[in-house]
Amino acid sequence: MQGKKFDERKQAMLYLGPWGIGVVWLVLIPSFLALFWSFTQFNLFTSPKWVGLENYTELFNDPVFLKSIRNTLSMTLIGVVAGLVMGLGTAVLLQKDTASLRFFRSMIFLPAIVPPVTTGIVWTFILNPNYGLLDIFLKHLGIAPIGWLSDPNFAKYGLLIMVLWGGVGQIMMTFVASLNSLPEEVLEAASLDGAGRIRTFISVILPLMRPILLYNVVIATLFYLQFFEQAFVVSPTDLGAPARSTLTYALYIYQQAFTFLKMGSAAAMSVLLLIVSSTVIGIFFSINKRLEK
Amino acid sequence: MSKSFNGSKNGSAGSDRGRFTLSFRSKGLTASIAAVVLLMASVFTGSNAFAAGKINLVMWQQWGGGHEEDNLKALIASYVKTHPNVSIKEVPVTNNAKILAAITGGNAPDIVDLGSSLPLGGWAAAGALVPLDGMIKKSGLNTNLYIHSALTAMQEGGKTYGLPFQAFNAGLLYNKKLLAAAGLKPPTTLEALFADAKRLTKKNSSGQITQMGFLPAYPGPDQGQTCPLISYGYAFGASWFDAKGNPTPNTPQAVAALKWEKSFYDTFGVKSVQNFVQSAGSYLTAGDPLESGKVAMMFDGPWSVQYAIANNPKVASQLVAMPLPASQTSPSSVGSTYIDANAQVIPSGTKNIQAAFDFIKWETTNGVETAKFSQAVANIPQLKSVPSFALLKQPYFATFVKIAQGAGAKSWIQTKTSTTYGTNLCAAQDASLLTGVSPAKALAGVTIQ
Repeated sequence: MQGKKFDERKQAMLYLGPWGIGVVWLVLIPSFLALFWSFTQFNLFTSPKWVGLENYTELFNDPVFLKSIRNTLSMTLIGVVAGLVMGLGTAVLLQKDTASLRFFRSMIFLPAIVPPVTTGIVWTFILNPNYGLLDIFLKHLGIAPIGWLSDPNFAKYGLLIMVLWGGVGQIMMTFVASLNSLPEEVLEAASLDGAGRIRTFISVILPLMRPILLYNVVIATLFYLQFFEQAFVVSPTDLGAPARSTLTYALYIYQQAFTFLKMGSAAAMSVLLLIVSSTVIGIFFSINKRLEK
Repeated sequence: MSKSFNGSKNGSAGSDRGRFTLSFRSKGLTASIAAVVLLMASVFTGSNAFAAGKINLVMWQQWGGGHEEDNLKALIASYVKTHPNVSIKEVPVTNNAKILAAITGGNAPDIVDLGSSLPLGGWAAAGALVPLDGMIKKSGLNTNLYIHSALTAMQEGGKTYGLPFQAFNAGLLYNKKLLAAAGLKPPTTLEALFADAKRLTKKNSSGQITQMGFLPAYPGPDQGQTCPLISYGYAFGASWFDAKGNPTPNTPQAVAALKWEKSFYDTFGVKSVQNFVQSAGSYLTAGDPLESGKVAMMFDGPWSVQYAIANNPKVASQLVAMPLPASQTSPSSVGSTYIDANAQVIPSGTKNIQAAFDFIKWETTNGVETAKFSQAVANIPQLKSVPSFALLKQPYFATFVKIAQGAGAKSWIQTKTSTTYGTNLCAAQDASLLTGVSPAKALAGVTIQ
């Protein structure tokens, strides 16, 4: 029996091997290299020169770095909350398994398969202040045209609209799956106890959906903390335009590395992002644990 | 957003004896995979573009596709005809990050035709480019053939890292019909330009701008062009660098230039101006502000007129070029403009350095080919003297050539931090124009390191 177990372990190692090699080669080694480079002055072409914490102290004195953090945090907060609310809302409305609702779910999910670059290009037209569909609709409501991508006060929201359009469908599908897997007897018991729909939703359904809620919060937070694609597509030659209002943290890492050739600073930013992301996830999981107790 | 993976509970089992053996099916699958891999290897290692026994050069160019690429291909064909031992494959690569990755990965092309010299300072200082001085001297190349400012843009730390090809600059383009309709003559100072722009700007009943007198920050980096504040600074007497080559972003002259630029946004409203720009078609298309006849004056290059001729001949016939007026505080600064060129550079680590240099030397000193290319893309010849071509006889183009060779044409000083400086300067411009930061504060905050 022991021999058989050992052989099974050997086979498991064999099947996991390629994945393990990939993780070590493509994740662990680059991560440790980035950590090392974050303490050096490095421009890709000459050997890294050790400078200790200089990159980190320079970053915290760099107003553009601080602006990229503010941009990213505000987008993360609004994006995560809006995504969850919209995803959960549509899931509740479209949960039942009828042909018409399946059709609507498919339509809402469809943007998820559109490449981010295409999304960026298409939405540049939709968000145009004078002939774009969104502002024409707002005009009918008596709202003056908004420069969704040209006004520094609104450009972030323009980007969020693009992202949510493509992301809400995926969130919705996870919530639909979760809603449809809730135990019927618990819901019946709540109903028998006289709980109304809203009360049942808040006190019974939401707590049961906590794992999937946590999953979506974690994934969405990580996504926004590393947000890059659409922000790059809308202004590839003038990163963060207009007036750096869409300069996300990841976009600034790219600019530090490939425009300014400051790989040390880019690596330092990446290390900080890793620390923040890990901390945020840790906080979410510990909150979840406490709620479970 | 990633989907979660829900793996199966039951893993696949090996043989009962605990040894991993290939079944017959597995052997067949393995053989098929091996055959496909071998086939792919033969396809991708087989030569298609390159011939044996020749020096095979790869050139990454930032003209992109379209007629510019066609003309570049014709130029390369001319070279190869007279140099049969060389073959050159050109590839459009407009993303600088990709070029850097190739150089650091040891897989750089032999030649890079950079769309501008903006990255040259940082790349040269970092060691990404081959210095050309030794080969220039050995080959007897006379650098006085080039427009001085265009060559200066290729130099960092006293060394030459590129040869200029197809220079470009900007001047004031005005629509004579729109000016005449308002009873105006072309402005002679920047202050007069602002006053004229106020008279030339029109709004509809909803308050939307339908005609703009002057768009100071368009075209800019968002349209792939140089930050206009640099030229306006020259027009106010700023130099952006001191005598030792140190950046000086917030001299009184520089602040005055940005104040002047900001006055348009303050007067017409930031939102209104931005909405006007956003609503126009893409730059260099029939819908763009100049080509659609919705802007009376614009600071742009000769290619803008050439595109207008192709897209909207009626409006193109109304466009006139003149040197940018100076501020009345710096009257000698008439005709101020940045001047730049496509930098022909050789990345470090390439194997065919001499062959690459021979090509770029030929390309940038051949008057006939330069004239042909300038005719096709409406850029300024990088050489002081070329055989005459049709565009030179066009008044607007002749004006741009004169501006390029004038004292007002200045190139950006290339240093280790010149890219950072230029990028942050433009960001400071945007911050002041669009978010209300005072020009003095915006320029004082320009980080250079």
